[in-house]
Amino acid sequence: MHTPSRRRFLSALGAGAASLPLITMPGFVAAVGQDLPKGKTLVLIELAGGNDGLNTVIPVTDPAYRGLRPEIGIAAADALRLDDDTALHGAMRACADIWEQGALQIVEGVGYPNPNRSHFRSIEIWNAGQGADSLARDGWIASAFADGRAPQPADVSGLVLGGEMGPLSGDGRFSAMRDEETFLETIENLPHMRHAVRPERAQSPLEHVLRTYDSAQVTGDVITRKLEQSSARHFEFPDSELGVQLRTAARLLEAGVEVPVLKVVQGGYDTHDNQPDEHAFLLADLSASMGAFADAMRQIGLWDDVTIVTYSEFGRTARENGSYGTDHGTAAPVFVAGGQVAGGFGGRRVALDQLVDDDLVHTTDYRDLYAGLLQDLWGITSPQAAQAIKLHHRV
Amino acid sequence: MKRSTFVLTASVIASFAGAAVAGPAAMTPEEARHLISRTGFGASPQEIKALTGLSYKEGVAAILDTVNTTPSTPMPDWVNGPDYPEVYIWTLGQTAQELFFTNRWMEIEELSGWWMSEMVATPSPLTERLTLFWHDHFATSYESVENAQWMGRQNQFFRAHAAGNFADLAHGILQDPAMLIYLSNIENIAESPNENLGREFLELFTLGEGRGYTQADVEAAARALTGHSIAELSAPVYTFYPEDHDDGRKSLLGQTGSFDAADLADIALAHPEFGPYIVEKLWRAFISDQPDPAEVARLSTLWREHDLELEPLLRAMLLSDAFWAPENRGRLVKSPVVLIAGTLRSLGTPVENSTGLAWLAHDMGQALFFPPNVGGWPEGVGWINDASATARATTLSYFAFGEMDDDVGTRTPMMAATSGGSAPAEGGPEDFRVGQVFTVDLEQTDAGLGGLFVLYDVSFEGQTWRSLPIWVEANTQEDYAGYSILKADCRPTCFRSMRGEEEEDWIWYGPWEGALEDDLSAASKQDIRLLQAIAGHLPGLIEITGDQMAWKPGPGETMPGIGEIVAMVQDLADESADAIGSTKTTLVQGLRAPGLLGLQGYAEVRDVDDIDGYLEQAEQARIRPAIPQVTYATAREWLNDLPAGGLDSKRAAAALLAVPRQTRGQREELIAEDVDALVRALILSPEYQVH
Repeated sequence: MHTPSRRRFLSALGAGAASLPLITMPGFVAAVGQDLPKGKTLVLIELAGGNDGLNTVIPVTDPAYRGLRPEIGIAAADALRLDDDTALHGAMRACADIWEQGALQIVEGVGYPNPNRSHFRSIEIWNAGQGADSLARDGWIASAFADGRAPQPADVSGLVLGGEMGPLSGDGRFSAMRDEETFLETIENLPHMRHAVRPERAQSPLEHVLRTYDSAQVTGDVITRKLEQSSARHFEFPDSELGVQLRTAARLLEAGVEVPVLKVVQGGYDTHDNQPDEHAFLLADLSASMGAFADAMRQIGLWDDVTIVTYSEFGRTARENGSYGTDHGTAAPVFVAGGQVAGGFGGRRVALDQLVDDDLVHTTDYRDLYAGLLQDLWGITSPQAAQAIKLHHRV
Repeated sequence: MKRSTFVLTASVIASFAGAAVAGPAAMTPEEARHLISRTGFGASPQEIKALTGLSYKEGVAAILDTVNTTPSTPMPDWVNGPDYPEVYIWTLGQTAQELFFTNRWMEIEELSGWWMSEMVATPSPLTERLTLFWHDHFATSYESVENAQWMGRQNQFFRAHAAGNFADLAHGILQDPAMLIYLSNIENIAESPNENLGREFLELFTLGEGRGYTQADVEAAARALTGHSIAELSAPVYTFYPEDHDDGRKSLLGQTGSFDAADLADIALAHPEFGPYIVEKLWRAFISDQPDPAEVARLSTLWREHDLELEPLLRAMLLSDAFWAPENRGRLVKSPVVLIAGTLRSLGTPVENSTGLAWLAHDMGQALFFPPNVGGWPEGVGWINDASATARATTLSYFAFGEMDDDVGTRTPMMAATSGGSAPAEGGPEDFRVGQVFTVDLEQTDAGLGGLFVLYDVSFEGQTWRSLPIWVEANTQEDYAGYSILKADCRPTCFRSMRGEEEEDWIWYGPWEGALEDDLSAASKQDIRLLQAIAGHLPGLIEITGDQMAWKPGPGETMPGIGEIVAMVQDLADESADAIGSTKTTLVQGLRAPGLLGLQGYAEVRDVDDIDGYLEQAEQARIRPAIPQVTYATAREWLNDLPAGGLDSKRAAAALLAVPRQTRGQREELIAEDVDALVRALILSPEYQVH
């Protein structure tokens, strides 16, 4: 059923798949001759500001935790038990449900060597996926999808529904939109000027603009068509910025838009002071929005095809700061959720009695996480990783 | 009008030839447009004609000469009006609380609209571009500050130093209430330093990420900033708390000493690596997306030689070869605000509702007073992705087709009425009038009882004061009781005859027999009468408003009941009457001037459900138009006012675009017949997104 639109998409590009560049960049290897999993969608949730991992996934029985968090530490009774020693923040009921269904993997201690505490530099490091020393500007998804490795068929290789392009910045079929209704209303205002072939890497701001206008039109046409042809189901989502973005994501997938990566953002995690209420509010929104998305995917039969991943530029200081808050820190857990996700704990817990400069030392390199996602979802082998974390059941 | 292809080609050649001979001695219209657009918002026919023919130096001087430290149209009155008792307002109940924050939201929207209208109308667009630059550089968001007055005053601060000295900006921002709140410095005290402001000061405000500082310097900077906070009880302005300041020795950027905030600013600016980061940022705002390292080094040195004065730096940048280099035309992406204000100024299009303009900018990702984070807004190509491209095209199509969105209004200017003032206070001169009382703290200790009350909007014998915080205590263990009154807020017209305790602004009154001969021997009759009124009326005031508790007891603390406190205050009142006589005044209490509390509309709002109705009505009253200095009724009129010479289509393109438009096979002269269509095609073209 997707074939006709794919053909239209390719003709809109003015190119068949064969004419796409096939030069292989050293390092990335697309699996050859293997029956690749099809139609996998990665939903990236950026928790902007630096999420406090220690009060998200709480080592409730660890006396060191109580020592580091005398005021803002979360009592075992207020949290949702995951195992004998660990509990989830009490506001994350829906995530606890996904955990109980065996569809949530919590990868612990994710970070990178020589952590940078600047919001902006650290999110660049997370976005590029090449470690703290690299000044690479392209996102890790864009790099992985370069040179013909982008999953096919796809209407668009990635869509940003909130925040910066981040992991999707770089060359490739990456696009951005806000809610689909505004998109449908406004797309017609672009001047009609589609180029036959998308320009190569932008060398100037003007080229970037030209390319973006083209991309918006090409992507816009196909998304418009699919949205118009599908009748919208009513999904219940929280009326928050994150909820609205994930509702849009669900709506696009429901309409049959083929997109390997969707990115959304939830801001506000920079909890330097009076953290408890604010953090509870944020995690409640995150959990409820993820739960609503999971429900929507089950309704339309796509839960086994999506993988939700949360990430943040850094965790926060292990020790609370005296303003009932925490400052910029280092490692933190990453949530990976989906119908085919192997539930349970992944990575390795950070020992709270082995802090360096009072900070958590990461136990899991974020590049191994990315490698696991690329390998499991699209069979792409990443050169950046020592070993790919296993995140999914055998697919 | 029919033109042959030959004429068109000749004109194209002529226009390029013209650009080639242009230069420092006499600007072409294209060069004038470049200078105006890069230092402002678009370029109007009038502006272009005014600079054409001047030398580069004269043109740059003309623009720098316009820079002002105050706006051309006044900010809304409330920006410099009385400070609101924000920390207490929620004690008045849910309706008042929601009304309070609704009013603040309306204010910040009004302020955003005011700024858009100023950008469109001002004779000095560079003032606004620089003010916007500093707002972006020292990014502070209303979202966490929630105080529109402080955002407005911060805007005044930025414009006061827009092209002044960077040292004033760096020092001043460390005393700016909005910034101190935004980056948690009000929580930064000696016992538990908070790194937020210290880090960003080095990383984002002065040196730049990775330029000559370490994590240890961040920690030292945080320590230097401890105790730099805002006043809590009195009008919330910058206040230094010595007891919260860590004056221990710190090792900061290679120097050692007991540094404070001012030292931090001095040391950071004297650091050898300071300079290039700021110069590069200015370069990316005014010259191109690719700073030239050699030029940045030259300009940084020049800047330091001028003691960090910004005007000579800007002059040097605007006169640099890079600024005028043809290859740098179109290298900057217009920010949403520049795109909107620039389009209205360029085309001379007035709009009725400038707040609607602020909303359009918000839709495109640039909500004034709401930068996304402390790093400020995106820049350059960061502004443009598929989503923002469609939003930009949509906004421009409103302007181009004259179909203004309802939020922006028609082209008929309508002067805005400002919001109504507060109702006049009732009561005669003999009355002791109190607008509102907040119970801030009640304490019960082994030694006795204490309570802190803030009387707001107090009038007495013809004087009116913002607030009067009063601490009342009875200490049975040490056998003393009395009133401590903070005169910081009623200064200079209250308790003039009474000295404060040491450097503090608190005065003490113990109502025992003999007080008049002892503590109050120097007190004026007027001050005695004020003490009589306070002592006599306080029990009644506390009784009425005792449930307006601003703070609840912390864990393990107990708080006495309001009844016990009233009884204690009544005892004191009786003793005071014996000691200095009772008051002759009548108490007039109630919300006589809700405007002073920030509760505009209080009389119309009985419960939470009424707020929406009030909001709609009050928003209408705050709308102001945005009117360029020269306006045009039709596109033809606009075209006729452009510098003469050449084809219509070429003249229009030269006025609106920095780089030639790809015609994509369409012959320019075809659309030149219809000026509306021509202008529309030009501003909807991708080339219009850059300048």
